[in-house]
Amino acid sequence: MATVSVCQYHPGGFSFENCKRNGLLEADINKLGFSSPAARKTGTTICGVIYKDGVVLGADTRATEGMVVADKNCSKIHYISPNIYCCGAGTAADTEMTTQIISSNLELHALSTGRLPRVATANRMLKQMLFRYQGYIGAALVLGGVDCTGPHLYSIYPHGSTDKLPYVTMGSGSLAAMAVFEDRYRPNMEEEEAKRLVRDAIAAGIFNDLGSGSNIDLCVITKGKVDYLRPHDVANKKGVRTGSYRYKHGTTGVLTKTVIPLNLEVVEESVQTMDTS
Amino acid sequence: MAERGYSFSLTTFSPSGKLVQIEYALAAVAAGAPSVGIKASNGVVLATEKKQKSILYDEQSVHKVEPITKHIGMVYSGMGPDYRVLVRRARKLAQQYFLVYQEPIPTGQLESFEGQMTEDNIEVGICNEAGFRRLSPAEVKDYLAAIA
Repeated sequence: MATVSVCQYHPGGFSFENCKRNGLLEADINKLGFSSPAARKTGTTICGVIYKDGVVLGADTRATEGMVVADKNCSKIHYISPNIYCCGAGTAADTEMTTQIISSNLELHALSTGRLPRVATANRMLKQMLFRYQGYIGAALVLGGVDCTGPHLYSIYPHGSTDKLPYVTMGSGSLAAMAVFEDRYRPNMEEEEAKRLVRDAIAAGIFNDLGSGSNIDLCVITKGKVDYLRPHDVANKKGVRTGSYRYKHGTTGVLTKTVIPLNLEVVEESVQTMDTS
Repeated sequence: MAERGYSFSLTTFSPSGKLVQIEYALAAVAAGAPSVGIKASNGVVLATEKKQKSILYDEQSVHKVEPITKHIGMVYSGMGPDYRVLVRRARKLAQQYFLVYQEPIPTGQLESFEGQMTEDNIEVGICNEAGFRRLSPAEVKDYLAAIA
């Protein structure tokens, strides 16, 4: 049985003890000529824009593992709360788990306050968590939503800094997307125009950046309604083969044919039902 | 009465073999306002009588029927402050379950969150004139079987 143990005091903050060990391990592996496995990143183009009635978030759908496409249709727009969604660039696991943790905490917070959560609250929670981990959580996020104070859009960097802006882009394709935004953004756009702008910005990232590709997902958030359009635009459809490689019967001549029947008898038959109650 | 000395600790038996704190808790529930839950074919209805001690209380600032998640609600009879703590615990447990399984918590899981009493997670000690002795896991198992 467990003996009485003294309660250990853990000093606050992230423990960096393992970082030195990890560095040494990496050096050892490199000396042997191998490279340590790379975390799957999302390459990515993500962006967001505030328009007249709310926020439009957009993302591509390619997940890369080094120079290989790991997932051709992954979902980068994550649910935070019914009125707040978050696009994630960087390490796929980090963006996924960070947004899930903050989503859970925000739901607890909303139940406690009895109110719909605010985008600023989600922003605070995310930046405080990312800063606590000093940039080791590789998550670059575009957070957008509509709350009682109106539509809001934030970009959050892995080290924990945030910017509150009317239009933002993140990821390896952010420059291509920002070029489109800088050219055509106007305040107080209509919904269709805003959707077209975001679609074109993501398309710019998809076609000009190797880390981004496949389809365009959109999320339109307004007061009381969310349109999660996945996919909004299948920009890269897989090609259809023009010819068939099957050969007709008789193409190859048959010289001899031998048939040997295998006489097998059923020795034992057992059925195990699964408890699906 | 000899009982009184043993009534403060939650985990100390009285000489007559009763857990006095548990009895007090059950008495608080029995004295509380009635609460009911009815299962329908397409949902559940939870209801309770909300009697305010004085008309000066702000009725809307405190609720007896609380949501735990989108699909689970809770109502109580007994002590309001204790209920508040349980609601917080239930909500946190529901979120922890969701983070692991990415699924809304089944109601049955929540109700058993207090944990089953097994010899692995409870300790029983006997303190008398002979001193203090902690029961071994096998003895604890027998004890649990006896009181079950």
